[in-house]
Amino acid sequence: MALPLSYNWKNLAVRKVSTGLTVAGVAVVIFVFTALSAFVSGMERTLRVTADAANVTVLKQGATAESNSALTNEEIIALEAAPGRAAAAAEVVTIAALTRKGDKTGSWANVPVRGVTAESFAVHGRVRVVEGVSAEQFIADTGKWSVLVGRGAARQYEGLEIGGKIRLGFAGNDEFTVAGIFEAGGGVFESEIWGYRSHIMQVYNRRMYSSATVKASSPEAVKALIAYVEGPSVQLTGMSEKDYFEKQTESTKPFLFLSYGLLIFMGIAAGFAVANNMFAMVAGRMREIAMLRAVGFSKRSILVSFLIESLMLALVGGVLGCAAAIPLQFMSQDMIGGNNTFTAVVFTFDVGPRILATSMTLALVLGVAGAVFPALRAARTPVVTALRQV
Amino acid sequence: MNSFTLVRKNLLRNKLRTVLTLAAVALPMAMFAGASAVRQTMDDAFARAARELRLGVIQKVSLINLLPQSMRREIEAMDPARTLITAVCAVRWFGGQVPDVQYAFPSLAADADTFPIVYSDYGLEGRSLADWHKYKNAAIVGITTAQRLGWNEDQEVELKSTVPPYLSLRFRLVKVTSTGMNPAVFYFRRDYLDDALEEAEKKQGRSYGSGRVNIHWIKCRDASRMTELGEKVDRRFANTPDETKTQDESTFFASFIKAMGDIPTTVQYISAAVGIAVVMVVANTMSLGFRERTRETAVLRALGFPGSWVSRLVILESLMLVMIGATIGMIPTYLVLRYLPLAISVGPLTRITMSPDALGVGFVIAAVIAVPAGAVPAYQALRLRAADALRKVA
Repeated sequence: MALPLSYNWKNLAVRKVSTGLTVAGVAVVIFVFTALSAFVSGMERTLRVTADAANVTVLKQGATAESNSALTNEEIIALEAAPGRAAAAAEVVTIAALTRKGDKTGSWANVPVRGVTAESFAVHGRVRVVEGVSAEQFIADTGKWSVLVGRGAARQYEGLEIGGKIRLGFAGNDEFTVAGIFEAGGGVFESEIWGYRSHIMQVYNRRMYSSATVKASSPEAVKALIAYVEGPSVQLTGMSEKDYFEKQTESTKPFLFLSYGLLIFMGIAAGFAVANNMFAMVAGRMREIAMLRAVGFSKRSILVSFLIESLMLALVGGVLGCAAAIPLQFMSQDMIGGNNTFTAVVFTFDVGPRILATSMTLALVLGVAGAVFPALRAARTPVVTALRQV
Repeated sequence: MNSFTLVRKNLLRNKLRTVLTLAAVALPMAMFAGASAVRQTMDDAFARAARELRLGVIQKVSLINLLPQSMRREIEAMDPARTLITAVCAVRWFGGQVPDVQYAFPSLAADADTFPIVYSDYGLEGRSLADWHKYKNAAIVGITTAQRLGWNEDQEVELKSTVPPYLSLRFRLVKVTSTGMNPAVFYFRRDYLDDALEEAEKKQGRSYGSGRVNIHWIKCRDASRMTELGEKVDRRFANTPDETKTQDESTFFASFIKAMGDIPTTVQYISAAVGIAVVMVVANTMSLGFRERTRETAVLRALGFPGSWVSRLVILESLMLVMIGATIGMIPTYLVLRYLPLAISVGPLTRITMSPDALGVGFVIAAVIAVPAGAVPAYQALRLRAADALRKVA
């Protein structure tokens, strides 16, 4: 016969302080775990969704990123003759120094500014203008000095709301108006500011393009396209968009490594804390347990009962920790994403169902791991000696 | 028997609990030590930067926008008597990499004549200084990079730039330096870079910005007048085609480090979370122990020990738990970081070490944490009514 659940929760309720402290301890660990994994996952999500399987990113040979690549007009013309391409967009990528929202320290972030054309919207199919003017209107109306800003950039930096004025250009004194906000499925492009290519080239004194994105007619045609780009007639560096963005995340690796190390440490420590509490619970109830055994409850049901009690603790701690982490999804952070470049990528915390489920699983694992030895001790309580004890 | 012995005996009474608590304290404290080592490494770098009295003049909008090299003469002309400025050195980002090696380090071209003065901390002197002036392709490299790539002095090395026109240049290493701001950096002569840039420009018929630079570093004479000088420089170039923004070296790097994922803030959050976790764990242990010893406490009170004395006993026990846990957690971290520094690459930070000072600060914080951890049972002890407690059956 199993012990009723009410036995467990009533026991927890009697030791309010200990129960509360253990729950709080588990909650802190689960919160930290959720926050770190939400950050890591947010970063991975941002870099993953950007890539389009049919796209090839083209850079100058020797360049490591769009921002340090330079392509000439002749090279773009050669690219446009590529066999098996559906669309091609030559773009210019530069940076603007913008202040983070609410940052009073006078530091700034290097926000990528992309000069685009109508073709850009064809190759970057995930980009959708969601507020303000439409993409068509934006492209058509080149008479106005306006820009579109990504959702992430709008969230992270000062002055990027619709109608807001920002200063771009080499000397930082060419005024542009924010005409719309676009989304790109949460990808890297959402960290950028998009302006009309001729404007951006003019105000930054650029005579060359930075990079080109060539869309293959199908994902299968990508290989042939890369071979053409790297071949004798073009002689540029081509890589799938996915490979390109993966390379750009190299610099974030130490950060991830550090985060996982911290998670493991915190988790083990929390396991000890839970075990401590459960041992105390068992020790304080030796006579009670012996009584339960004497009236006929099996060793197994005592063991299960204590595991359940610990799981209850962990469950409440886990829920509290996760709940505290949920508001993080409204926070964002920018970080240099790149290999020898200085441009910032804005990440949001991904507090999605997958992350929450992982955190809750960890909480329950902590509950079980911390309770195994105390529960075994409880189940093995020698009935006669324990009852005789004063 | 003094109170210290009593505390020790109390801790040893439930050995399993003490061990579990110590483990649950030691792990977070090890993390805490790691976090403060990061923090300290950073603060040290900033302090070192501040001591060098260098002001960096960059283009107003961005570091990547180039300034003319002639600006150096104009800055020097602002202080003809040289009461404020020792020397000005222009540097240009090269972004060199060793082909097919996944290792990034900063490589820059600097004015040959003033580099040894402005960057005196890198220790170019004697033969290495003579070689620097003698060979046009002379270069100086920090010890971290030299070790990583297996380079030695007087060796010839080749770097390929990652910025247009993606030059490949060969250098002669005149010194491997273990002093100076950045132990990963690679500096070479700017006249050598400009020759190569001009050649590329001639061959390809387009401009790659030869004769232009990313930063003019001003070595100052007087720390107290640096801000004033910086403002003066920015005013001098205001409303010209090349407006400037001047900052001291530590502000410059702080901004850079913030952009690399804002480690200072992250470290602070982690430390706070760790502190809270330790308080919880110890508070729990203390309240468990106190509950089991309620009758004993009542006996002590009945014998005439005042409540405050018993409370002190509780706090002392909490303090001892935290301190032992902190010792177990922090000493190994300290020893590991002291003798096997962690190699990283974040701006001027290349290795994380831990000083005895940081260890001391860790212990002070541990001691502070112990007080709230023992607070609840200490308060209960203070309020305990001996007669009621003695009457209660455990």
